[in-house]
Amino acid sequence: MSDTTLIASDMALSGILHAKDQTVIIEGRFEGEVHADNIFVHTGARFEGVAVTKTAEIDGVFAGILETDALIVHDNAKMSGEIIADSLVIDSGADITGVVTRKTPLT
Amino acid sequence: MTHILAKKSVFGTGAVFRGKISKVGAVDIHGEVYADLELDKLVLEKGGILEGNVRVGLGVMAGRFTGRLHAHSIWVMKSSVLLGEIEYAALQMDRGAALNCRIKHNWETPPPSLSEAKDVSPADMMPAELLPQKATDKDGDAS
Repeated sequence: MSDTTLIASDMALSGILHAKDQTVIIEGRFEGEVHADNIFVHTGARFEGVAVTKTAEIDGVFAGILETDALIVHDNAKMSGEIIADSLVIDSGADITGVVTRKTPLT
Repeated sequence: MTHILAKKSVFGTGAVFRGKISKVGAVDIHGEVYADLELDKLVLEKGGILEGNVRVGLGVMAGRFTGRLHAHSIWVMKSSVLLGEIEYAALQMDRGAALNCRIKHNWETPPPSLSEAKDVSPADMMPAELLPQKATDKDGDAS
């Protein structure tokens, strides 16, 4: 049993990953779509595509659309595209280019 | 953010991946993977599903595989179900394993990246929980 899916640094893949109730850790390269509870894109890793999660932590390269409840962008991160999140923390040094919108509109 | 890189990739229980895997060294599959693979070490865990064309140096199969498997060394455990075609240089099969496939022995020398696999026992790459229980499980496990 393993509740974690881990894309190691020597792995490159493209496609669709459904990992319900799972943490997805990306240290290598991923192109495509991820649906998971949590996603971590580590330093040196690259993600291109769409990610839909409850929480997300980015410390590598993320290009595409990220929809999440809570996002932490660490200092090594380079993010571009669209971020849809309810809560957002950005460390000093992080590089973000794109559009940020709330997931749940304020009433 | 400090982090120690992992040595192998893992598809967790319940994870379903469909697509293309272009580069990988070692992988454990607890979930479902529908892709072609070329790698050094593969562990298809009990309950795991793998469909595709696979070329591997060392393979430990405890789950369900469908497709074409080209392996240098392969250990087929009692919980495994293999469908399709297997080509191998060294094969070990536990009692209870279900093979419904064409099997062909292959004397081909493994590629350089897999050459060190010759001296490694399947037990060396097994998770502890999958190793045979010598005291309690006597029917057909590898010794």
